[in-house]
Amino acid sequence: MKKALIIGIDGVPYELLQGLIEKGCMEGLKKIIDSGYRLHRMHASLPDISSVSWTSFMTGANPAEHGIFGFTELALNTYELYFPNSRDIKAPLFWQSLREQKRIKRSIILNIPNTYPAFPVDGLLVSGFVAIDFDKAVYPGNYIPILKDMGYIIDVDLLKAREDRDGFYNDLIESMKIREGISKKLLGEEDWDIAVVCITETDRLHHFFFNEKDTPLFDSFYRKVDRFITSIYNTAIKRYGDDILFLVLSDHGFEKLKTEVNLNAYLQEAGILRIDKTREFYERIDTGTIAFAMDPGRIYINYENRYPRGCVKEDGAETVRKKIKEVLFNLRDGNGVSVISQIFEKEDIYKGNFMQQAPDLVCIPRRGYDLKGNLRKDNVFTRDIFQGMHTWDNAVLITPEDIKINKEINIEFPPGIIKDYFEKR
Amino acid sequence: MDHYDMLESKSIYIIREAYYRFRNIAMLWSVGKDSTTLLWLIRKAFFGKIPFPIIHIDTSYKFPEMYQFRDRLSKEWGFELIVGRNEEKLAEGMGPGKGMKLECCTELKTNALKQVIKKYGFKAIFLGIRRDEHGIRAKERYFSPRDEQFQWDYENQPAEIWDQYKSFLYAEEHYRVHPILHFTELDIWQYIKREGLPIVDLYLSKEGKRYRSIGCVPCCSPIESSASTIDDIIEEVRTSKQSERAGRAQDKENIYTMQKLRALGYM
Repeated sequence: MKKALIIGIDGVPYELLQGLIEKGCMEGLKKIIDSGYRLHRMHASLPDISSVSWTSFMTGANPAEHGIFGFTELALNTYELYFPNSRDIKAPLFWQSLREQKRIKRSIILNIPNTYPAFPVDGLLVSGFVAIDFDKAVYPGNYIPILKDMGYIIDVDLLKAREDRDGFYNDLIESMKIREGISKKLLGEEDWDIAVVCITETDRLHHFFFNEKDTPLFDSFYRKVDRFITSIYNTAIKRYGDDILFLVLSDHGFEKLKTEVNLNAYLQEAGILRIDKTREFYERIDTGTIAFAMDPGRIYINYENRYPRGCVKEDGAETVRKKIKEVLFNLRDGNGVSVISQIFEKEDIYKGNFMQQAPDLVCIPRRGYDLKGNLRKDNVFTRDIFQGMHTWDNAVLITPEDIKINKEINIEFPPGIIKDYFEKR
Repeated sequence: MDHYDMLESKSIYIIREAYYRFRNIAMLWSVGKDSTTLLWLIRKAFFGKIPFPIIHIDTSYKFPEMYQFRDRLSKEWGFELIVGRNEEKLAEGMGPGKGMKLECCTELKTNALKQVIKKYGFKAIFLGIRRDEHGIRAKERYFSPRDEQFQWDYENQPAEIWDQYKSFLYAEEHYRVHPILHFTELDIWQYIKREGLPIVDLYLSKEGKRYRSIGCVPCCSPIESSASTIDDIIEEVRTSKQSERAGRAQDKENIYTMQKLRALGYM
């Protein structure tokens, strides 16, 4: 019987993982890799946000097919802020398709971002970030008391990072330990054909501590990540033998954050965005606005036929896009360093039934310049407590070495490996 | 000593310890059943005379019954009442009808409280939150690695537990003290009955409906209930499966979602 085990390590960049393996901080993983696995560099989704990227992984599809473009979205034909969740995923997930084809039966899916609220699965699903109510984060519901008894934790208290850094770091270690224990128990005792286990503690560490990536703090944290990966792997092969399909992947990379870049403050300075401060959130977008930004670097054109205070005509869009791109490429910091390194037009990167929802442009910043889409900041360049920012081009994928990859891949690729594995005789 | 004596003495111990450590302390009173219970416990802890001010944050959207109750009780129990209002935002017309509810709560509750704390220089605030009150608050802390320690600290070193229970609401320069954390909703009602405490009558059923949790008028809705006495409520709570805050605004989840996203720098 075929089995697949996938471990997700949220926000771990290719170079960091490679470096830590070489440095000897991940001895268990090194042993596994030496037994016949390989590291690949992989692109995240666009934008490189966990909810989008993991949904691309779960569906093997691009955002215009699965319908998730960010943690935030505007409700159709309005400026009303909306938080997409698992209910908004429009494409089938790989375990659902494989189950339908009767290639597999039971799946155990733990902590993948954007799986809240929990939805039916033959097996067990526990939602990941952003899960609010634990009672809605577990399917089937009879696992709720069991998981509660085991002390399951969805996420650490993120607000603690602001008040108590050391305590927050300890919380991350502790929550990973709890996650490890429970995942081991579930994978060791329940039946499964596909198991996906994600750790999000890595992403949290990076958001608040990436400036310390070359210090013992990271080494010691990643020794625990190593223990997590190896102990889950060992549990699986002890149960089902070592010819299971084993993958490790991250959903995006990370880089040290130099400055936050408030695109909307810049668009305002450039006369492209007009704000009415008496309103809230994206309702602030006022008549005369040509375009606005949403996290992280999504640019939406304020079309007349699409938004209540829209003013751009569909047929003039080409010129408008060109102008906005020009303005964005002109954005420079105090030292004259240009901030935006690449801008994609939606037709270049998306294809599917939900093109309508897609941002018109997606910006990729120079490393260190974290693009932000909030409408509250008056200054273009600001700093907060965050030390790391997401990157697009250096997520990581570990596969068996006999899987040949000789092209650029992105996060839509790995589910294909899983499908191939179960479909081949 | 019965169960309620135990709950009570635990609370009183924490209240006295906190007062001993922070003379410049106050209590946040929402006028609801939990913080009114806390107020009563504080009164007991100091033999009827509350030695510090009681803060009520007035969003201006509370039920009229709540204002009446507040003014009546502060007179009867004779404590110093500080009413905190974010006048600037109220003047700008901030309210639940405007934008997302979080913004309204932030301005009219959190920031109003911050203003009071700053003005009076309070070093610690008593809050009537309970561990079983809402999943998001309690559960995350419950899973907190220091929770084991917390149990132990709870009995022996209350001074150290307080910063374990950092609530997202308030700035970092003061401590939050939660003397009734160990009460459940049912405990509160049983205790209210035992002590004969006054409550806002919105909690009692009128025409088949009552409020299980009270706050601002636009964000609260009553539940179907025929419980018109404390005894009825006790029976209802004992058998109810519905969560206590089920009657609160539907977009509570959005508020928490936004909070989590903001904590990671989004939004």
